[in-house]
Amino acid sequence: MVKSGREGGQLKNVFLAAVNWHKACNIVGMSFTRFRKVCFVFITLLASVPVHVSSQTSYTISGHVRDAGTGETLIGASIRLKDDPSVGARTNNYGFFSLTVHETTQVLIISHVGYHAQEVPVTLTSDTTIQIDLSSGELLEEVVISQSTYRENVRSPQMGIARVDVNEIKNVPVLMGEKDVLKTIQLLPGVLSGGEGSSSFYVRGGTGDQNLILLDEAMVYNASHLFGFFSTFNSDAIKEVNLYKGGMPAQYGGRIASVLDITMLDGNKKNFGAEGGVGLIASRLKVDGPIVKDRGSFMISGRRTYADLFLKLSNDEEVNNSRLYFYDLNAKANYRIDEKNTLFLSGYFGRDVLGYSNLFGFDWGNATGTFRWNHVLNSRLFSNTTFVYSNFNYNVSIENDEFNFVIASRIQNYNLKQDFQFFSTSKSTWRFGVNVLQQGISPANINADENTAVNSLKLENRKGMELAAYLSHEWKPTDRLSLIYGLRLNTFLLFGPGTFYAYDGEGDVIEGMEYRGGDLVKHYLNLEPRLSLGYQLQGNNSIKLSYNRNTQNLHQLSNSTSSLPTDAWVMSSNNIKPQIADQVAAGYYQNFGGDRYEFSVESYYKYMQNQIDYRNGADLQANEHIEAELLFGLGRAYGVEVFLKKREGRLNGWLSYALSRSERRFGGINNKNWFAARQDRTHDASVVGMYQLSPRWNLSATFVYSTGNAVTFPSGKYTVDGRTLWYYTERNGYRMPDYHRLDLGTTWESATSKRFKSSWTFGIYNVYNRKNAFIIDFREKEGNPNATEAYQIALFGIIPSVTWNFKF
Amino acid sequence: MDRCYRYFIGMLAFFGLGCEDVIDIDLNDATPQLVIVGEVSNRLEDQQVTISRTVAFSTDNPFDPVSGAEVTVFDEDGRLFELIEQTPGRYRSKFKGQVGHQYRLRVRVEGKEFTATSRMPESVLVDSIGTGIRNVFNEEQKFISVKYQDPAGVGNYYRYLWSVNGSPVTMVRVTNDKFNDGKYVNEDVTDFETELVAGDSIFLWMQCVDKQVFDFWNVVQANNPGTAAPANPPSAFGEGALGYFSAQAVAEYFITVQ
Repeated sequence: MVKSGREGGQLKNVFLAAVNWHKACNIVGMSFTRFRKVCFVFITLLASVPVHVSSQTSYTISGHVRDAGTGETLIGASIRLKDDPSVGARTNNYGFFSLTVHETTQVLIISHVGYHAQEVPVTLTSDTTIQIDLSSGELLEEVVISQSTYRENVRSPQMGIARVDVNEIKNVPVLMGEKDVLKTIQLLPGVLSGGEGSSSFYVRGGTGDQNLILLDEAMVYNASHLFGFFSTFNSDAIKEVNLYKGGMPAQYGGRIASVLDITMLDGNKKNFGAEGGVGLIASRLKVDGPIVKDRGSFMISGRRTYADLFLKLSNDEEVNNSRLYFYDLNAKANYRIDEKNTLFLSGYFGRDVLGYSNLFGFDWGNATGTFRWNHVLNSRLFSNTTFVYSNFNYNVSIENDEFNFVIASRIQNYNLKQDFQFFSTSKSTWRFGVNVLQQGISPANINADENTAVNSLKLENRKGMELAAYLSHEWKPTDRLSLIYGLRLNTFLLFGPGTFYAYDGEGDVIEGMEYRGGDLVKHYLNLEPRLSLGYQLQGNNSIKLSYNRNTQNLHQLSNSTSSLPTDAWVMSSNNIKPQIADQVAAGYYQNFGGDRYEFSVESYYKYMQNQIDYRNGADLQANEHIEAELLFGLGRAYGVEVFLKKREGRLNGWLSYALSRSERRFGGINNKNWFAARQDRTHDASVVGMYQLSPRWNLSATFVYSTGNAVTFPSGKYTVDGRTLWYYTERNGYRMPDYHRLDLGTTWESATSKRFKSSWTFGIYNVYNRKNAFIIDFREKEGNPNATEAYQIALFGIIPSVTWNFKF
Repeated sequence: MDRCYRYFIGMLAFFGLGCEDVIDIDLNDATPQLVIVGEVSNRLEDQQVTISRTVAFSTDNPFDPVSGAEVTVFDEDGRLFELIEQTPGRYRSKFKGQVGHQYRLRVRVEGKEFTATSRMPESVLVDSIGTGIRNVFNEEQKFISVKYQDPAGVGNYYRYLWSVNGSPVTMVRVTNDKFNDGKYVNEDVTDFETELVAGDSIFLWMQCVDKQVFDFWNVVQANNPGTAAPANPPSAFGEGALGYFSAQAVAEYFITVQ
């Protein structure tokens, strides 16, 4: 009986899923009718584009570019004709390129940052496949950099992008010596730090939850450890980091401020290797090697902290039974079946564990898994199919004489993506695809014993589905003009089962509506046009323009200044409309000094709709009526960002500066006047310098300066029942003091043999011991409760660090 | 969240991080705002309404009384109590409120009229009271442990005030039964600041208050330095005055800290 019951349950689930699909398809059908109209206009436009029809026969050269030493595929490598450098291609995220040319005899120049450029002569009598292996330069200055690699920033119409070189991260000094991608990107213009020592970041006036963070295409819900001090990304395992602050290509969607696309290393296809490090906070180890030589490889990388070992030193039993650590595990494997088919499997698993004796336990973490199939349909059509699972959950357990309960919450998604790249001509590339994302949220539930002092509490799970289709065209109509334009169609569907409430302006319930499993509660359709346009003035400078719309259907709720793993997630619903951002940007880009220097100025204006804030005293924890606590309003952000980088030589590094404003307007706040968002920082500047003193010594320094956050301070006080209370008049009407800090670092490569290399990295965080205010608060004076005073807490003074790294 | 935050600060302190300094900040002086706080209890005693104005942050005395107001409390049976200003800003009248009754406060001051209503909740009495000890990061903390049976099926809101060794009566905490409706509750009463030591003599008041009063104090106690947007607690009087009116069932206890 039990068995059949369970089967019945499964059947029901399958049925409900089918019903879901049916409804989804209906709605998509409706959407597609509109989409078809849009496509029609689109294609008509395309048809009117003068296509250069040539009587010459054309041939396609396609293949992969790899690292000669490790077999690792190279992303963004440049393939150009020696005779006509304006004709070329770049490798995609899987190292694949396709270039269609007319002449039969050609010399190709293949180049990539940090690698020796290679010339490859080809004689074409038919479509040809070639595999190119580039050898890496030992030191940056030795590497022959071809212009074409360095011109990309000027030549490409893509704007608002920041690429982080993983090798560069190694030398940038950071807190506790834990090199960190998320902290390095905060040194770029337009990217603000989430706070002292924090790995969270804000892009162009947006909030933390408006950043789409992808690790091998899997959404990472909570990208930080230990209340934000360390990111979940172990840089040993990372190959490539791209941050889009604007001009997001149409294949990305779901968040309105930025896309941070992180790719994991595939692993060495030629030899087994290991590398790792021992630092003050954590130790790391990475092992990689071939599964089958030149065909497949694996990579496993782990990291664990040991702050809890210090707790063991305490002679207090409760303290030394406490737990305080986090760990990360990245793993990836790939296998090339043949020249046309490659499979990838990658995963991430990380967890934070806190515990105080047996009384209190708190753990949280992400788990992601990505399966990918690269298929080269023909020399000009590349397909990638991805299936992703991503999960974030936390558990709190409390156990003592009177309490015995567990709080648990989970958010997860299944995501299926199909992406095509069609390399039509050397001047025209199409990209199109579809995306089905199933989103599930289990809000914080309390599970208590019958005879404990709290009640169990069960909040309803929520289920949603996001369907997207996109089409994007990168096109170079003339030698000087290039553009990427595209369209993303996004449908969000919220499904039952559950009770969904409608609220009045005061947040009181008007009515509750019951939905059964599979019932459609609400749906939203959004068209997201994307356009980037580049015009090359001379060889080494260009101007670019872009417009893009992004929408967001998953929202994180937090009314505290630091992001906590317990911050609740909600989806768009009958009460919450999708967040929408429209951004226009213009920029000027110039390389000089033989492309050794890169300079850019970008300015942007962003208008945001359906932004979220909270009623005074909002209860965001375990609240069935959490949506009643929300206020909806507008946002606007604008600014200018300047970036100057020296890319090579013994001294390299960059200067970045942003002048910006980010404001919000809400009905119930500040008498509906615009007010500064908390992360509004007028000035934000960074200087990063790295100097190769000798082959074995490398020095580095970072200086950051920014205006303080906008904050709410009292403008008066009063007393009730012996307590002094603060009187507030204006939201975010005050400023925290300016923030500035200097960090220094040095790396010493100790004696190396061919097989074994090791290095020591020493760092000093906050060299001049600046007491940057982390918190400013107000209190009654001790001894005189009538008088009041302000005080500040600074988090980190001067902090030295040392890390030992090895590789063999 | 409050606890999470305290745990976080405790952790920083344990690792020797964090450095605290008293600083000078130039705060604006807001236009003074009226503050009205009214209370009616179920005991035959002086019921009091306090009327004051907000003062500048730098002022030493936070109490700026407002005199000459006309203060009246109406009960639902049509009875009416005039409150007389006995000391500047403090208006009093001796009468006894009744549990379950709704009261209305009317204040006429400076040519304006403010009103608010409150229904006195059923009384919940303490079952036992004693000293509790907790050990947090090697530090012993003492608190008052209060046990009572929460009535099931209704929202209950509690407010605690105390006077330690004869000090002025101070508001300590508000709690509700969001997570423990109908349970036998063991409440740790502490303001997280006052250090209690053995021998301290404490008068403790436990009040059953209505939701409006809870909301007021809950906003006050939820405002910690980690709050993104601290705000004024909701006012029962709407625009133009801060404060609340509370009809409350009160019980008074005495305990010597062990």
